[in-house]
Amino acid sequence: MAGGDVPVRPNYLGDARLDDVARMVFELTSELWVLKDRTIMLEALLVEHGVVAAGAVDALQPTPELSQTLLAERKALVARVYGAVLDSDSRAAAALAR
Amino acid sequence: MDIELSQRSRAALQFLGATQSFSGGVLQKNAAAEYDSLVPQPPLPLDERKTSVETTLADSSAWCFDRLLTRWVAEEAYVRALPAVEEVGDELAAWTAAQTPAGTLTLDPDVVAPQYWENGFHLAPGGWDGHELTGPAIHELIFKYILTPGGVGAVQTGENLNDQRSLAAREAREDSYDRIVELGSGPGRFTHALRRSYPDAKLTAVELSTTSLVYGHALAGEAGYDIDWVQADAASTGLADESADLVAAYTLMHEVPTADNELILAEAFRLLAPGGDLLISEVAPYNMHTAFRAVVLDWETENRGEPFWRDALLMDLPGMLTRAGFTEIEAYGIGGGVHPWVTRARKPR
Repeated sequence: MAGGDVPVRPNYLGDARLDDVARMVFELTSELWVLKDRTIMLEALLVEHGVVAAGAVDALQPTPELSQTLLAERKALVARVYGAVLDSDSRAAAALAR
Repeated sequence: MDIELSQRSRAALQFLGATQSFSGGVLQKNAAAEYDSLVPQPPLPLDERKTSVETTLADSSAWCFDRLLTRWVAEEAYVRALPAVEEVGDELAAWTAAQTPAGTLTLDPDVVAPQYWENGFHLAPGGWDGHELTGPAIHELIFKYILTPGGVGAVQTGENLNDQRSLAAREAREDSYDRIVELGSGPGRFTHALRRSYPDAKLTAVELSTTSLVYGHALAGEAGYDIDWVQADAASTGLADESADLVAAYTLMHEVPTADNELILAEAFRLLAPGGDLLISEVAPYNMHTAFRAVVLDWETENRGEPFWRDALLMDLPGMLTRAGFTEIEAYGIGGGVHPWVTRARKPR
């Protein structure tokens, strides 16, 4: 009745490819956390060294110029991620137009 | 030892702890509630329980993702902990060299590990000694960042693994012992609990893993504990007949095939002086758990590198103890609970 790490990795969502996608999502979430952790640490370091005041990043209101930069980056991110479902010709055209 | 990791290594390991904590503490509880509401009178035999839970919860997001996340965390634990511990390899070596343990360390380069020991336990690449730093990787990083917040196996999310060891160590019958032998000590978490409970005893820890022994010896030095460490198979320790008043083992038996557990019990009997005590703490047999919990535990066998788990939880340990010659056999959960589960016995005078 021995088990252990059996030769074929078990499947948990009813489809091995679905498991693969889920694993990618877990890994992405982990990378997101590592980056978020680093941002928090970086901000703490900046406050500790007097480069920014505590809470300054939270309170910062983007200037009109910064708002435009954020808008462009936000639109580009959304387009890349949601646009991934489009055909490659459409995606190439969108990338060239950016 | 307080190991300082890089930001990436620390955050990546902490993420696994948070994942396991959520999975065990929220998803699994949701799944248990779903099962209980749908099957108020579950079956008793293990195979029927497995079919019942897996069929009832086949379309349960909470169940499916709790299982996948638990498996993923178990795999990723080593993917992350081994590189993390390598980053601090030089500091670890320096720390180990700086310790001045009171007890001895007896390594045997010719020790022949039983064949079952070479399996990939707990999904660790290469098994117990698959990496020269597997000992500290498991017992510092994985323990601290993943198992403590997240739970593992019979230890549910939020429970304290060290408190349970301390409780179990105090379950031996006598208030004091002169000579204690612990079988399968690893780097010594339970050994430390025995030392705290029996401060005056000569304490010998028997273990096969070189990395665990070296690390355990150094850890005991840091803690100021006088413990002798011996590299040997728990079924053939090489220690003298009747050289112990107490033989103890903590979560050793589920790592061992039943036939080898019989050998270990025979060895314990040989080691004990007449009137000496045996103290075993393990995961409780399946029939002590609810159906859902029994299936969650049994899942470890094929999914988390615990090849002998099922056999251990099905075997008749009191019966094996009787056949080995022990008497005054008791089996119970500490404090009326289910974990830790204690079996204790005595060698007749």
